[in-house]
Amino acid sequence: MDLKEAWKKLEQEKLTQPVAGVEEVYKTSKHPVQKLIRSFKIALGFVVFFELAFAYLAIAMPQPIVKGAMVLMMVVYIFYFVANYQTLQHINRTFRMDQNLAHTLQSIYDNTQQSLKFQRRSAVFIYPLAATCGFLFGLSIERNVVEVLQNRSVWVSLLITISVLTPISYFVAIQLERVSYGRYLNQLRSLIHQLEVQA
Amino acid sequence: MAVSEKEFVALVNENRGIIYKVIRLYIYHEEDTRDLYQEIVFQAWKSYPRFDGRSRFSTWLYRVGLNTVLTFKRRPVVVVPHEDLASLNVAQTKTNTDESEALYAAIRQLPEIDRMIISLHLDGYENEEIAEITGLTKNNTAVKLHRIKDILIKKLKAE
Repeated sequence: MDLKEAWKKLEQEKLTQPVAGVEEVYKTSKHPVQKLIRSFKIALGFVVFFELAFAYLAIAMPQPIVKGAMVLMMVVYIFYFVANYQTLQHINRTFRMDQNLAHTLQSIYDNTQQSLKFQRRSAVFIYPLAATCGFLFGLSIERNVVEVLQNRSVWVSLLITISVLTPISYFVAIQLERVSYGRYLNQLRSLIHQLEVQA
Repeated sequence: MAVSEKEFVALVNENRGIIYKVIRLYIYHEEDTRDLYQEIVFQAWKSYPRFDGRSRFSTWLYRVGLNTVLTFKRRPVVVVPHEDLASLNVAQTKTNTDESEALYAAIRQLPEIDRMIISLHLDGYENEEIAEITGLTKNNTAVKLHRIKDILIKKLKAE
């Protein structure tokens, strides 16, 4: 049998004939990379929301030490914005279905993992800072923070707050990361593995 | 390249046979066909602004389609649709004298990457182009292609 001739006939008679129920063009995707893109966009949305909230508090709160804390948090969130935006840009630049698939997916997987790892590590330093800012903000609602900080027991409370909130926040963040990115990264890893095995 | 959605849709409509071909080669469940069609069109739309026109649109769309299908989450082949029951087993096609149907059945029994390699080859792509599309080396492509052809010929002769 001539394979090429049989293929030509197969193409004309069957393969290229219309498939029922697929006439509409949609603009949604179930691809794990597309889901990753969506997760990063949601994360950026939250970052912008918190930036605005901190900016508002920095303006609205009368005590300079609290204003300073809010500005510090804004700087921290700018860092998060840049980290997430850069990863999103990398995915958008790299993710093309008309290129070598294994390389494309591997590059996206590696870059995203690297970005999340970096954010996880930096969180260890950022969460104590955030806990301190939150503590100062809480104190400032009814009292003068600078005066209250003269009291040694307040410093002890602050240390307890930091030591309790930091691991809890870290744990919650890891869980959120698993929900937002983890399952899609796992899908991506298994796709890369499949492609490698078949190659 | 700036392109309007209308132009893109027209191009896809002109070349939709390519998408049908990809669907027919890889999909066993009717529910997946609709999802895969939309996924291919979506991925093509996302990649199209960077389509440089060095190859024909049809060639480019074929590549997007094949890459998309390889990463598309399909329903597992547990229940084979009636239409494919006979074609999954080449031996059962003995009564069918149509060689192309037998070839179709044989190709659908191949592993996915092998299906991609042989369909590209039968569509006239050179080994170098197949290697570029699949991410394999040129030598590996040649070796695989040789092996796939052997398998197909053996299956078809067994008829």
